[in-house]
Amino acid sequence: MANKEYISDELLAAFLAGNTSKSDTLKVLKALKTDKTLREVAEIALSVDEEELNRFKPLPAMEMAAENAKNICSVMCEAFILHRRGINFDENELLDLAKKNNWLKPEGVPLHLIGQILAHYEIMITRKYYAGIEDIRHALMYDNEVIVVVDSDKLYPGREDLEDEPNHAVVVIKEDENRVTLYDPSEQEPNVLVQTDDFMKAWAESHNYMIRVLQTIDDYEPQPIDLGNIELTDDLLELREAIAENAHDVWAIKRKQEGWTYGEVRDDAHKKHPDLIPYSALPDSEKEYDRLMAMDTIRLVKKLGFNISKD
Amino acid sequence: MTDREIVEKLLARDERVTKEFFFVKCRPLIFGILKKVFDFEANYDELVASLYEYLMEKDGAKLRSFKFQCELIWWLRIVASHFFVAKRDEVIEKSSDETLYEGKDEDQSYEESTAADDLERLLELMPNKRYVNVIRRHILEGRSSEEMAQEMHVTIKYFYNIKKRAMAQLTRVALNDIKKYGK
Repeated sequence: MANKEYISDELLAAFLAGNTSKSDTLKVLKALKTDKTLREVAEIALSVDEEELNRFKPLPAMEMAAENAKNICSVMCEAFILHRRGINFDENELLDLAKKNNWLKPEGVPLHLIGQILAHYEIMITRKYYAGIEDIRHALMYDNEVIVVVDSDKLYPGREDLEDEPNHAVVVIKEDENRVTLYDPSEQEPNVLVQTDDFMKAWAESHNYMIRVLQTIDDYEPQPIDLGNIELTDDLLELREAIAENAHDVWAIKRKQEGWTYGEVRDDAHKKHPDLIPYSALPDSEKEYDRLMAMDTIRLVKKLGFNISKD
Repeated sequence: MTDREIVEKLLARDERVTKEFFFVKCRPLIFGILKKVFDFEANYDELVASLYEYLMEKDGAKLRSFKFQCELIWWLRIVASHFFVAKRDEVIEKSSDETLYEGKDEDQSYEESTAADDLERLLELMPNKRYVNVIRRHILEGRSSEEMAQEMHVTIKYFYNIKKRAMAQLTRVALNDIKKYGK
């Protein structure tokens, strides 16, 4: 075809990945001018919603919330909340506690361990991924403190943003239509104001991870991780049955050791339980519960970024 | 598994790797592409099966054409976008011996200087000057990724991310420019 560059799929892919030579880069740019289909393909490839793809990526539970060399931002957030709750503590002891329990590692505090200090002080916390600004509003309405993990470079426009990753814990103090007030351990001022848009971009990097610090048991709203988009291959589906059966046996042996025996009707006073029978003899309704637990465990392992493979 | 290992397994029609790759790993990506291409609810399984058939026909000719110039998933992003656009427009000519969308490189009258001027103009239009610097030094001047990462004090992994973002911005600027001036 006259005056039309033909661009292979691989050349366009290499161009978008920044792997082309000068000459090939110019060739692709020229072709984009004349080839409507190529333009559409490039637009589609670039516009596949990264946020949506993020929902399928592993959760960053093992990533470190760490801002500076001391790596103690999450410890400082928890100390801030202890202080607000009127609980006395010694900062050095708090750090020792976090180090001794390996919550604070040399690289920082993994996201899933933020809140352990508060739990140690018998303050109840819950965790949620893919939370929204409405979850923060809801928690603040009940005087629950909220710790979120953000990409600190995105929080403050103008800072060089080298890496897309959750790397910093902050406490959300207040939220109104356009602004969020934060306690940011890395800033001098006690209250830092940021634009909600910047906050949302920074928060998205942790898959909108928040730790809600409860006031009373009534505030507890279970928030299991959404695992609906984790697809399992056939071999993992078969694994589900093996895990379910074993989980039942683990439960049964524990009960038997505690003196429980089979009874047609559950009777806690006399330690009788109708499910103290082999898994194969369980009614389908009971098996379904074990299967669901097994399935969600496998899904969670995958969601946390681990692979399960057979030797 | 590396991209090469995945391609080898796909070509060997390894059932587990094929399912894992197309129906687990790439599912969100392909879903995203289908949503962009079709304005109705597309049948994922059916369309992925047809994409798989396209990659594997003629002894896996299309898949074998992948020369690892980028990540497999980036290549598939383009191949799938191209394939589904063609599918939508019903222009796939299976009878043709020509491999779909493969380069022919037949236009030798390419005026590189004009194109280079165009690129300079596009670089001027890019809002992020750091990205401009990456394109200039890495692509136009030919500095390696390793050199660039060292120069920018970032790891290679993060440099790869930065250059992808730089190229995405350049492409968006180019596409907007074409729309604006109706070229």
